[in-house]
Amino acid sequence: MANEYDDVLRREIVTTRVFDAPRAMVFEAWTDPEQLKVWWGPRGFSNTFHEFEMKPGGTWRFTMHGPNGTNYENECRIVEITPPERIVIEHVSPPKFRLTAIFDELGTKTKLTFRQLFESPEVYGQIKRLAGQGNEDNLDRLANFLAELKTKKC
Amino acid sequence: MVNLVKSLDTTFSALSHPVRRKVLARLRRGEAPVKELVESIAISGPALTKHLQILERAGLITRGRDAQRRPCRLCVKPMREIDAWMESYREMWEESFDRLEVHLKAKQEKQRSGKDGK
Repeated sequence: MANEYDDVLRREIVTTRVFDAPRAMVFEAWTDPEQLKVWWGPRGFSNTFHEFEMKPGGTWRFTMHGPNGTNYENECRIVEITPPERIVIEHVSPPKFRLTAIFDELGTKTKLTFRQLFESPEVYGQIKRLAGQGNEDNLDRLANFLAELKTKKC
Repeated sequence: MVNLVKSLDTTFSALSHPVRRKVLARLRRGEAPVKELVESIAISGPALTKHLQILERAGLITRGRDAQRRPCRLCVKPMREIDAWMESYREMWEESFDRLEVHLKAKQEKQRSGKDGK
């Protein structure tokens, strides 16, 4: 029963993307730290990896450097890694969420299905803390996002 | 922006109690009178009333005017705000995958020109 109740608070983002590259190459871009640090994060960001163990139970600790000089510390735990099909990562620093990346072969292309699952109730406490600290970047994005939603609706 | 932070804050603290989450889960299936909530959640009337007040103040539920039943109804607006916060991540991943796309293209180019050179 507990699960049914907490379903109210389960939130998942799902996105897919087809890359014009063979699956082994896309998978490698996720598991080779030299490649991963080049593309991970939003536009204008760079990364410094402190720890990177791509194996079940391994730790991935890194700093994301924002374009305005703000640093974002991240710690992840590798939950599952099944080459060249599937990677599951738990983001353990707040806000807590689980990322699942699935790689499907589409001829010479690769379809990536990406899920981000926020689980309650701890995540709410953590987001609350972030909101309280005035994580302005995210809040600005949220404000923009809400404004966009409104324009779309009107 | 300040108002939004405040309202997110109120929503989070209202959601932080299991009884209140149970109330919301039940109301997702439709409105319910207090009496029914007391029975389905197995809680005393006075204790439930307190929780309902917190949910009402957070704007997560509204209560009908019928003095006897005062049915409770779910309001979606605060949950939408939380969803929007989480949705802001979607944009971040899309940008990340744009960069991955560029990286993969460059890598393939390099491989191709490498082969040509041999």
